[in-house]
Amino acid sequence: MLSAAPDRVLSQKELARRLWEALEALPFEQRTVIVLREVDGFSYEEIAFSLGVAVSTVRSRLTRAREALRARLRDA
Amino acid sequence: MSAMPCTTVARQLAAYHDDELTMAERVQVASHLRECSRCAAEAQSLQIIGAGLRAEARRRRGGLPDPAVLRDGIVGRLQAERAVSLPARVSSLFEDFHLVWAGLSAGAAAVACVALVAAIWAFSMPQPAELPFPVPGSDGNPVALDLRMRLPRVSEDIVLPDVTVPGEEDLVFALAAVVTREGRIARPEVLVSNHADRDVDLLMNAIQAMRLQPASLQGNPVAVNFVWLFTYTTVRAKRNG
Repeated sequence: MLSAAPDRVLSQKELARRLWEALEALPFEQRTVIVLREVDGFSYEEIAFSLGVAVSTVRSRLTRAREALRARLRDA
Repeated sequence: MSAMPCTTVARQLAAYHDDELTMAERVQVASHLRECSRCAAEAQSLQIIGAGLRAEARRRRGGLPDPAVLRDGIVGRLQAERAVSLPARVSSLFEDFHLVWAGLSAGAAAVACVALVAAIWAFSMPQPAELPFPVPGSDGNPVALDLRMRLPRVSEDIVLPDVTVPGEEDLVFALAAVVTREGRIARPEVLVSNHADRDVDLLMNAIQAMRLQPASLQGNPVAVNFVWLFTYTTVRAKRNG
């Protein structure tokens, strides 16, 4: 869970900024799939088709990207 | 506690968040989340990440429409292009009242032409008939990508001009275009970009000069609508992943 103690609760704007910083630190493939999914709203199949990879690859890249973002936010 | 264990829900949580589950699976996971605070917290963290990324993307993209709206626009545009056939165009002609007479006149003229052509045809050698609208897959009527197709491919190294990308961020932009049967890029349109338009414009000439191997269906080249995600980086470090 990302919520923290009251004194460490981030403003939404600050949280978004840190998330983007964490996003930029991701490997290119992970960054691409999570932007296509979360920002542009494409489905797994659409992403897989666009990138020429299997849907299972999209799933695993998304999982790794989200884990990395979570970890970075926990550290913040 | 619901019948579905936490371990199963954990595996499905991302797909639940991404709306990629079947309705039955979705109901099961939702039921579990109502009763399990730990899994609910995990689901909430996915929402926080997604909402945060969207908010920051909106801020950085400045003034661009909401991504969900944008996506609907892209899909709608592609569907609209597919729908632009002769019947649709004739129908739309009559939707606008002031064009009714023009439409009727054109219709009468078309009937006269058809009669004339039929008369000429009857007295001439048979020839292949021309279709009244561009064949689907021709450059004038590109089709949507299809899973049966071989996708357009870059056939040679592309040399893009040097563009100074401000900051550490890669220049990323999505481009909608038609890849013609000859592999040329036509009607390019930048859908989204994380940098100023002028940065993208510098690359557009080079991109439009690109020659691709066209998409093909059963060995025949076809013109397709295509959306690319371009990433242009000036960072010297090797890309990870």
